[in-house]
Amino acid sequence: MSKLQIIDLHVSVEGKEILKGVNLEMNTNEFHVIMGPNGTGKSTLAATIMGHYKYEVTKGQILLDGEDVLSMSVDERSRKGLFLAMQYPSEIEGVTNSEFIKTAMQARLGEGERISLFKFIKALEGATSELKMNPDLPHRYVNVGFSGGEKKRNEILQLKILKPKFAILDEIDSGLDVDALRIVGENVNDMKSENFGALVITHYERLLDYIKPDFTHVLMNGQIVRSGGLDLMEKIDQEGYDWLKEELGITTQPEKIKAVSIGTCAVKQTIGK
Amino acid sequence: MENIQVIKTNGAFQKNLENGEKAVCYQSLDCSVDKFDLSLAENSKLELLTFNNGNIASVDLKANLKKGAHLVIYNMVISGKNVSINEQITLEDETAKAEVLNVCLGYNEAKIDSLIHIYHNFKATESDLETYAIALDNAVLTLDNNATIKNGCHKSIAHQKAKGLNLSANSTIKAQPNLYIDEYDVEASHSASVGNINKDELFYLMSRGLPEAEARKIVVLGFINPLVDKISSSYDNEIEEIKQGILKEFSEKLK
Repeated sequence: MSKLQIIDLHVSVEGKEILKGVNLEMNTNEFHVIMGPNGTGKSTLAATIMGHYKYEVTKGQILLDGEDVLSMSVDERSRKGLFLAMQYPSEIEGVTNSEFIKTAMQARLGEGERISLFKFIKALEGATSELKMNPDLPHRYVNVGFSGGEKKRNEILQLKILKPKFAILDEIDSGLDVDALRIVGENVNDMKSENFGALVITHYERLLDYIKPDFTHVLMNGQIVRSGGLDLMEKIDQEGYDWLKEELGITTQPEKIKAVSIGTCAVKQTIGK
Repeated sequence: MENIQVIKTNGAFQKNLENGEKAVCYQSLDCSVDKFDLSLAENSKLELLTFNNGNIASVDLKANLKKGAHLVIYNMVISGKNVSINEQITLEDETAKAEVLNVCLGYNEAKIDSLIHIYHNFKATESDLETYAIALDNAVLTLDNNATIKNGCHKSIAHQKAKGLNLSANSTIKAQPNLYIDEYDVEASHSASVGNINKDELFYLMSRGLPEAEARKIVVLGFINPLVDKISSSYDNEIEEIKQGILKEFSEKLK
């Protein structure tokens, strides 16, 4: 059993505070869902846990089994058992999926240990088949020319092979058709165990037909404002967030738009003169 | 089956291809060839693979192509010393075509100057020039790509691409894609881009547990692999071995 704790987490991007004190605790064998209106910081939370360079933690802690995650490099976080399935996975030219996944598996081994080629091929073929992916995928460059759905399945393929303690799934349902959604959802759900838990970020309840969550959290204005079970998720799905905003007295201020000049080009005369 | 000569060269290489003749020429990894003098007669074709690991300070290539002749050049350079590449290709008759792929990696204090000039001296001639540079340490790489289309050489096509990857704060890559065109009825393009490793790609690889150095190496080899893959090795097993050797050399320099 492992534990991931997020304590009073404050995060800024380019000087603007996005997360304003997030508290969350989860164990393996638990699925937590984070919901919330657009722009409330869900993806910021996901990327910060993984250590994305754009996000600056100004206060708070993230602990994995009591170890300080924030002092770890991105790769160290991964090797310690964190995994981020990304909303927009990068495309890596010239690197095949199989090379990439094999290198990632190798990175988890100790010095002098070599990955068994047989075990690797077996794991890759097994996971590819379970996700009903095209068998040519191992020979294609990482995410290059993949459809939106293929990219998401490729994220889950890596998740299945790398077997982290905690996965953060950042809107993996976007870009998936109904069948792909079911396949991805069921595959993640089947991973639930004493050694695996997930934090699922989604806008839609549909994914949760297949990934059965234990807890629901609502993120608004950079904080988790309400936590509950399935009933909370169902209420949000039916009624949206307005009732919660009203209950909590949260008013959404429209973002101030600053007028800027984009300059002039080939203007012969100044207007007004 | 097409009759193709496979030539392994060990020294200065001079070759006159007769009408319709086809040849592939390569050198072993430890060999030093500093001069190429090529003449391609009508409808002949030559594929040339050169490799320079810094043993050769100056490489000169001259090629003249007649009607329908086709020249393909793959230049691979990995050097920690100064290297000067000077290539001059003249397309002398219609439908002559030159394709050049240059991949240069410089390290230590290397100064690598690549000067390539393709002259379109006849109508309906075609060139495609791609140069790629990777700079480590204090290396300075200059990619000077030139194509000239003379007046009256209508329906000619000239494309150029220069890409650079700077891997050190002290390394420099200069890309100069020049087109000199004195004819309206042509198709031409040129592009140049020089940058560092994409941070999001690094983050993605590291988020799967790859240490930063390994992730960087993978991104750079990803830049090089498709280029080396373009070298056709179906004519001779040794060419495949040389390709693998070139990739190994690149990989070792990126440690």
